[in-house]
Amino acid sequence: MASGGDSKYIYRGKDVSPNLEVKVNVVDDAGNVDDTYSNAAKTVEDASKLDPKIAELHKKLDSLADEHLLPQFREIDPNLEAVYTGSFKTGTVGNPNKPTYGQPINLDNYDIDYWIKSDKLYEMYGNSLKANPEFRNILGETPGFEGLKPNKQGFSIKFLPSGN
Amino acid sequence: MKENSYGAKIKLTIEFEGNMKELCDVISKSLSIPEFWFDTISEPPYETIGYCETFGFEIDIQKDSVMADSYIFSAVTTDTFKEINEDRMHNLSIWFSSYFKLVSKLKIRISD
Repeated sequence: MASGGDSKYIYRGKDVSPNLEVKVNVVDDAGNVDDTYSNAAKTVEDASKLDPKIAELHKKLDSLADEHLLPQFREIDPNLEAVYTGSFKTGTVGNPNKPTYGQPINLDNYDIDYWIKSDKLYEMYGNSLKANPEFRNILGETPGFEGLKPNKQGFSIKFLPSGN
Repeated sequence: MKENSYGAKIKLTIEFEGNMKELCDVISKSLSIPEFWFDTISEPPYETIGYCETFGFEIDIQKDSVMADSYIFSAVTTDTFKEINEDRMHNLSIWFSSYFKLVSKLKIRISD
């Protein structure tokens, strides 16, 4: 959850305030419009729209993954980047092929798509979704994650190349 | 103890003219395993993949990106990250393709 106050913005325990410069509708000589935001600014903007319940689940998941899931992979690649995606990240179903597209996440029946970005791990494990029954059990015992779908349907890991 | 632990993997190509759901039904029945569930990957082009978890294996079915009317059947023992990392994975593809052909009558070959 992002929090504002003076000029500091804290998101998931990190101070993201130094990069808050926003570039909006910059038009170049050829007339092309660049409406990109700096990453940090977009992160804060997204976080400010997030349901506080989901933001709280993010915090719990980050902490549990740091303790129970990621150490085995950090042994192989200490520089890996772990993120989650899909409706659990944004709070809204963003896949246009799903009948629930555009609707808010249903916290009584949802899944977590967990991505680990690392060239080394991607080469080793490929890009198919992987289950992790041990970590799924840990989530199952953690208040707030009762609505996760069972097994791999509820929690899956996907390895991606770095910088993807 | 974990140093003596081995996982296993299978990768096959199945020629099948029906859709993925129909193929997964044939597989479930012939191998006597649970029904597949389906999901689209969360990034474009949002392809559909069929999943089944049984007997400690994770099975994925997806459309072959090169050959028409072909699907890739992939099975790997679950939670064997360490075994994969340390090259302790048995390849069961040859044995499994023979058994799978016998029970399913599908056109199956070993994937490259």
